[in-house]
Parts: sequence; C-alpha cells; structure tokens
Amino acid sequence: MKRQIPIILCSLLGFCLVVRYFIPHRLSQDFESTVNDWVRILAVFAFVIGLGSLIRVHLRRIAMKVSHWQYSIVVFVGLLLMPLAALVDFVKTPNQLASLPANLTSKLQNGPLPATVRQALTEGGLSLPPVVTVESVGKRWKIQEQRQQFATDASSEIITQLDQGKIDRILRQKFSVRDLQLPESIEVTVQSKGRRWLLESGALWYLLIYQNQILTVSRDTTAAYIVGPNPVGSGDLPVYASRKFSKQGSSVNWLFLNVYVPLDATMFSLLAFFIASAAYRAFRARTMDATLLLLAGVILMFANAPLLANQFWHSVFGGLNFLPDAFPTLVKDWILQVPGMAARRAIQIGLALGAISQSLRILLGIDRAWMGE
Amino acid sequence: MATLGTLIGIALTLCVFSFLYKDNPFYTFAEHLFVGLAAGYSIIVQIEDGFIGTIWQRLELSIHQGKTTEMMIILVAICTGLLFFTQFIPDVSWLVRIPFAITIGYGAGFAIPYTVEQDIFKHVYSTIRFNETQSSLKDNITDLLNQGESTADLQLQFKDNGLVLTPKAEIKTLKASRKWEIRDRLQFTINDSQVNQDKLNQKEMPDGLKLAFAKAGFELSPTTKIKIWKHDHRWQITDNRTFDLRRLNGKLVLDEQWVYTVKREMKPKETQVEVLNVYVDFFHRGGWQVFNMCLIFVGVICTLTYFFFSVEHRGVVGGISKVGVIFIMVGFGAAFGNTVMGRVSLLIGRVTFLIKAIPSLFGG
Amino acid sequence: MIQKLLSLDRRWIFLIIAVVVFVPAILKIPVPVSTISNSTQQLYDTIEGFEPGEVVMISLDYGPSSMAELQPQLTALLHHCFAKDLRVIGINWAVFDSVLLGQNEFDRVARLHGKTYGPDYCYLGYKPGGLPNLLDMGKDISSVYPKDVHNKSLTDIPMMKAIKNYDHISLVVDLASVGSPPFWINYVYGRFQQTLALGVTGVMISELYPALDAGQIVGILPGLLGAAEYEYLIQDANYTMEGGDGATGMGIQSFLHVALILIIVFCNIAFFIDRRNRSNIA
Repeated sequence: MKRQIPIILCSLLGFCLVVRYFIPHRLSQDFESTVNDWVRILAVFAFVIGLGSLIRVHLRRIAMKVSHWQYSIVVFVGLLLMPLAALVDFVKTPNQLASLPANLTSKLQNGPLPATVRQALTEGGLSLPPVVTVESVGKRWKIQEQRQQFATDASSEIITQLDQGKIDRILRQKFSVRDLQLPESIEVTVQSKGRRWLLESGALWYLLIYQNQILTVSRDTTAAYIVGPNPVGSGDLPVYASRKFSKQGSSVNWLFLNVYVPLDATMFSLLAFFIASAAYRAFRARTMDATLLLLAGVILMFANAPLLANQFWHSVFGGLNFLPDAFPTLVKDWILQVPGMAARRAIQIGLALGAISQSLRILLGIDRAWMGE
Repeated sequence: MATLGTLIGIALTLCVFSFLYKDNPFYTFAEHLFVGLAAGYSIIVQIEDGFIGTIWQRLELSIHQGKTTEMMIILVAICTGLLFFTQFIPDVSWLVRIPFAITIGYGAGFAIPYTVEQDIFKHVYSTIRFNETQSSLKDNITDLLNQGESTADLQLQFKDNGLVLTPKAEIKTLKASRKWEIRDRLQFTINDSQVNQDKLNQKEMPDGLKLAFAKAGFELSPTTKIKIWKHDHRWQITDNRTFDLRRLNGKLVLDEQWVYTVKREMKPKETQVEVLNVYVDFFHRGGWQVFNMCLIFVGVICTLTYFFFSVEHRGVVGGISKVGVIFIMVGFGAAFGNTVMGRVSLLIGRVTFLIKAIPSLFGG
Repeated sequence: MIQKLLSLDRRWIFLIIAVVVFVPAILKIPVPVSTISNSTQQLYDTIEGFEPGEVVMISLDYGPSSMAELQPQLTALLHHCFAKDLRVIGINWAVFDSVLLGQNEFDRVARLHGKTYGPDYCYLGYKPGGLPNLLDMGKDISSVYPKDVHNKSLTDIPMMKAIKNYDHISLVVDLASVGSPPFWINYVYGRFQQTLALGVTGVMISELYPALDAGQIVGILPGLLGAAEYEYLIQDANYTMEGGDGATGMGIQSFLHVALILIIVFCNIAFFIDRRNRSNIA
C-alpha cells in the first residue's frame, strides 16, 4: 500500500493529463484548471521541505560541534534577520502613498468619503474603489472599500436572464444607481438555478442571492488605506496602505539591496576568474577536435568584444574590400546559427527523447527513484 | 543609513573576493550569511505570496463567493500539502510520497505531449524544410533601395517575386544592421453588415468577410487564426500575412501591414528578404542559403548519430559520428566563447559597483 | 622555464584579470558598438513593428547574481517600449528575488518617459506555483495574480481591464538566467501560440538558437553584448538619450576578452614549444 497508492496516483494523473491534450473539451479544461490549482498549492508547501532540511543540517552541525560549527550560527542569524526585518516593517508605519492637504482634514468624518477628499486623493495618485467609507480609528482615519451589499426586488425577467448567463438592462441600472458599473464582459456563473449567481470579471465579482422575492447583492472588501496621524504637527496628512506582512517594507529592502544583492552578485562574479584560469590550463590545441573547439571559442570571444570586432578589425582589415562589412559579427552569427545550431538541435532532440522516455517510465511505475527507492 | 548600506555592500563584496587569494574566515562568513539570508528571504516570500497570497486569499474568496466545489478543492489541496510534514514523523513518513506523486505525475503528464510537439516535431520539421516558399531579389536591388523611394523599378522587382509594394511605401536604410526596412500599408473597407461579429468573437471566419477578402485578391488559408481585442472592436487575423480589422466610424476597416526587411547576407552581392509580422519564412534561395540548410541537416543527423549508442561506431556509422564530433566541437566552442562573455559581464557588474560606491563614501 | 610558466600559480592569472578589469573601469574607456547581432535585430524589429497601445509582457526570471547581464537588457527594452507608447506588464514567473530590482527599474524608466503606473504599465510580481501559473495565465491572468505588487486588485488597474490573457498580449519577453525558457517555449508558445522573445545570460545563448531557427521565438538578446546592441539601436532611433550599462560594460569587456585571447594564445605557444622540446629530448 505504501508503494501502490503513490504509483497509482502518479500514473492516473499523468495519463489523464496526456489524454487531456487530445481532447479540447470544456470538461478536460475544467479538469486541468482543478489540477493546476492543486499543484500550485502543493508548490507552496514544498518549500517547507527545503527549509526543513537546511535547518536540520545546520542544527546538527551545531549540536555535534563539527569543525567550523560557528558558521552555522551565522546561517541562523541570516535566516532570522530577514523575517525579523519584515516584522519590524509590519509594526512600523508603512510607506506613504499620498497626502491629504491640511485644509481638507476637517472634512474627514465617519461615513462615506466626501467628494472633495476623494478628488484630492485621486489627484495625489491613489486609485480608490467606487464605494468607500471613512472610519475613525484613534488618531487615524481608515478609508476602506465598503462591504458592498444591497437588496432589491427582482422581476422574473431578471431571474430568467441570469439563469441564461446574461445580465438584464434593469439590473445594470440598479448597479449604476449605486455607483457600481458592471463591465461589458462580465461573466455570469449560475451556482444554483433560480437562487444564486456569481458575476465575475477578472478580480471583480458580485454574489447574487435570490430569496423571498428579494435579490441580495454582496461583495467583500479588498482595499484599505490609513490616513494620519500627522507626524510634524501641521500641514498635510500622510496616507498609507493598511498594514501587510510583506517583502516590500523598507527594512527588508535595505537588507536586500545592501547585503543580499552584493553577496549573491559577487559570489557569481568569482566565476570570471576561474574561467580565465581554466582557459589558461586546459584550453590547448592537443588534437584536431580540441583545435576546432578552441578556434570557435576564440572567434566568438573576438566577435563579442566590440573593440576587436569593430575598431581593431576596421583599422587592420578595413582595406580588404572583398569582405563584407562587419565580417566578424557575420562569422559569429553563422557559427551560432548554422554548425553550432545543428549540434545544439541534435542534442535538444536527444534530450527530449530522454525526457519523454523518463516520463513514461515514471508513469508506468518502472522508475521509482522519486519515491526514494 | 545609506552610507552604512554602501559600506556594508563594499565590505561584503571584498569578503567574497578575498576567496581568490585563499579560503579564509571572511569568505566563509559571507558564504554562510548568504545561505541564511536567502532562506530567510524565501520565508517572507512564501508567507506573503504563497500562504497568504495564493492559499488563504483563494480560500477566503471561494468562501465569500459561495463556490463550494472550489473551496473543497483548495481544502483537499491543503490537506495534501500538509502531508509534506509527515516526513518528520517516522511511522507515517511514507505519506510524503502522495504530494510527490501528484507533482511528478503532473510534470510528466504535461511534459510528454508538449515535448513531443515542440522539442521533437518542430525541430525535425525545421531541419528538413527545403520546400518552403522562397524567393530572390536581383543584385541591383540594393542600389534601388538606397534611393529611399518606392520607384517603379523597385515595385517591378517586388512584383516579380510575388510581393506587393505600393508607391507610398517608406524605405529606411539601417546601416548598422546591414538592412533596409520597408514599411508599406494596404487598406480596404468592408460594409459592416457583411460581417457577423458574433462569429468573429467565437474565433470563426464569417462568410461575408471571406468573400470580401477574396474580392480584394487575398485568398485565406483554412488555418486562419483570429486574435480578439474585444474592448476596442479589433480582431487580428493571422494567415500567411497579418491583418488587422477594426471598427471605425461604424465601418469595419481592414488594415494589412506588410513590413519587409531586406538584409544583406554573408556574400557581398546577395540579398535576403524577410517579411516581419508575417508568419511565412521568406528568404533568398541563393546558393549560400541552400548550403547552410544542407549543413544544418547534415549536422543534426551526424550529431544524433554520435549520441546513438545502440550501434557500434564503426565503418559508415563511425564516419558519420566523426563528422558529428566536428559539429559538437564547434557548438561547444561557441558556447564556451559566450560563457566567457557571460562570466566576464558579472565581474564587470561588481567592479563597476565598487568604482561607483567607494568614492561615494567620501562624498565623491 | 616553459614548464614553470605552464604550471603557473592560478593567482597570477587572477591578478592579471583584476588589473585588466580595474584599469579600463577606472579610466572609463568607452567602446561603442557598431554592428548588431542578427538575434538582437530581430527582437528590435518585432517591437518596432508594434502599434501604440499594444501590450508587452516582460518576465524577469533572474536574480541579483545575473543582474549585471540582464538588468541593462531590461532597461533598454523598457526605453523602447515606453518610447513607442506600448503598454508593459512586469512579472517574475520563476525567481522571487528580482521583484524589487524589476519594480524599481520599471518605475525609474517610466518616469523618464512620463508614463504612469496603471494606464501605461503595471508590475505583478511573483507567485509560487511554477508551471500551473504559466498555463492559467493563458485563460485568465487575474486567476494567477488577483493583485499586483502594491496589493492593488487587477480590476483597479486601468490597463488590466482590457487584458485578460495571452490573447491580448502582443509579445512576451523572458529575461532569464535560470531554466525558464524551455517552459515558455513549450507551454506558452506551444500551447497558446504566444509570440515570444528571450534575453538570456551568456551561458545560455547557444542552446536557444535552435528555437530561434524553428520560429518558436522571434529574437534573443545575448547577454551584456545584447544589451549594448539594443542600447545602440534605441539611441540611433532617438528613443532615449540615457547611456546604458551595456555600452559602459563593453569597454571593460573588450579589454578582458583581449587579455583572455592573449592568455590562450600564449599558453598554446608555450604548450607547443614544450611538446617539441620533449620530443627532441626523447
């Protein structure tokens, strides 16, 4: 059972997806979306495995006090530094998005957002949803998208139209009366006939419920902003996005740009030195094949250096009129596009055949290496 | 704070570079710090974009929208995901194979058809496409093009090759890339009533439109593809050429844009034409191109033979595989040349950073 | 003597490289590019042929480690797109640690061209998931990215109201230092016939030419050289006055390549002299 269940699951899913390729039916598309969702969520959890093994390895090194175990502490310092910075950013006031002129502060009060305030914020670069309310929270104000909900009577036409996946003109009007514009291309999903429908367009959605002759329309809140408090004591009020645990905060950014980026980039730049010493030691025309490799490599390096391919070439070989302009670049393009490409293509076809047979071996349960066997 | 950041950036860069002299505590420190930071950063990302952005937001939305099936799928997926943690519990650690089975089955199930289609069929086809529409322009065309105008002579040259060039065409000489760019535009108008827009929106060709195309002299192939821009009533019809259909003042207007690029190739007196935004390969069938196509064909066959180990590499097979080695060596040599460029660029990036950052510490 | 030279301590080589890279970097010797590789020109021509308002999606599949090669490519591409009034969407499909790098550069270049976030460009960032995300964007981008990096819902971003999936995107450019191009080619080009172009690191260039020949992609920017070539093309067309990192880098790169070619030639001469000496002795 410990082996059969995973193998059967793996083969079944794999073969269903292969068959799906040949059947462009709606059902097969729905099946694919479901599987996509599933795998996407698994991918999030899979990261725990990598993290877990990193932590285990370094905890063991510290516990066993192997040589240089002290550096494992450095790993943990690094590991905690980033999430700590994110926490600091979370607690701290977030980045300012816009500001509210001082003369408009008096207009802020619990209830709907006054038009003048909305205009000032929009001009400041903040894009607000159609219906928002203001709520006072201590010294600050919270501007939040309203939990849009309204009930209305609905004629049988509206209901029939909805059941057919269409939106009635009158229903559109009922939305627009409340400042809610339904886009032309909104999609209607019938959840249960004559009772529940979902109107969706991208991330915009409304849930409609019909009960006791009344149609209830609802949508939950998404965006929220915080206004104030005033840090200086006078003048404009700052406007922030409401708090969120994020990699966008200033402390995380500081660590990222000043510590993470230099380390990552410099580690890889060491390779330039190693490739130079490798070229010195190993790049020798010992045989015919090695000579070809060396020649192709040197031609590419020559053509990839503008100083050589343009300035040097023109001053030395510029007089040779029978050669076309930009000869080194032409030769480079030819090597890459003709003989080099042919070899690469053959390798790619070979790799693809290998990948297909490997996939088939997995799906047929012949290859079980992925189960740790 | 900014100066401190730059200082730390410089110090860490130098710590890593110190490895070039020999392995030392500064390098080891930097290396371990990096491993930790990378893992720490991934924690933030996975929490923000993964657990909150992908899982929680989806679950919340499906609950609010009342999509019970979707909610169940997400819950099942979460439960399967939680099975990853069973690896820490010896008694039930085999359960970790279930999420693995799904991920691997998914990968294999998608890989098989698309690898066959894109990595094998497509490449085999590209290697043997000797029979494609090809055409050539005469040598004196470069002089005609350099005049920068669509002269009668030039139009005639194009016509001989089955191409349309109008007197209004604009010609630009692009010296650096050894090319001439010709922009030409044909336009015809169709009565709105002749076109069934619903059909177009379902990506089908309406009969009225087919007729209009035929009248203007364009035969559409059965494999016509339609791309839709619903918001501004525009459809792009891709056939051998690309057509743009848009709604203007109550009328449907068809725009056909042909962009030819004429390019000089390896030999000084040969010219190659390719048509951009158009889905047909169209080029000069000079001796050089045929030679290259044959070379590619031979190269692919020989290299494949070299990697085919089921037959002993002796006699004819041995000879073919020896030719294959030549192609492989040239290919790898070219790859090495490009790799050098890549590695060198990374070093340049760091050196430029140091040269900009160090003077900035002293207010320079 | 020759023997000694051939087995020189590698630190001497390191020192030579360091000198060759630092001297031109300090002296800032400019070396302009004046010939353009085919693959770069093809990508430029494709974008050049677009009408204002068409949409280009750029996926940043590289981290800080390959930033030196790919960030200048991003800058040049953004200059071209914004100057031509194209709309641009930025995403990070495969790598999460370039979100900030990309976002900052989008904002910076957009400001230079007077473009605003929302109507002209937007940045969607990273979502874990991999392949499912690529496939689902073919149906509905907002099913993968309900919100952008600023936590703003996609329905609140003006340009995204008209862009639902790949059908509404004219070109996808994948700037990659990891193994992402085969996925974009096999699944996004293969399944959705999406026009695709690549900007890649030097290491990956050669392996992508078959895809260019087969018509799966419309162009490749080859590493830092590709960035320099693209900068030349957009400056030549007066799309930007800003000198890019590609052109600056080419000067240093040229000297380094000269040094490396000399090193290779030198060690080969030494190798042949040594071999002849040995055969003479034998």
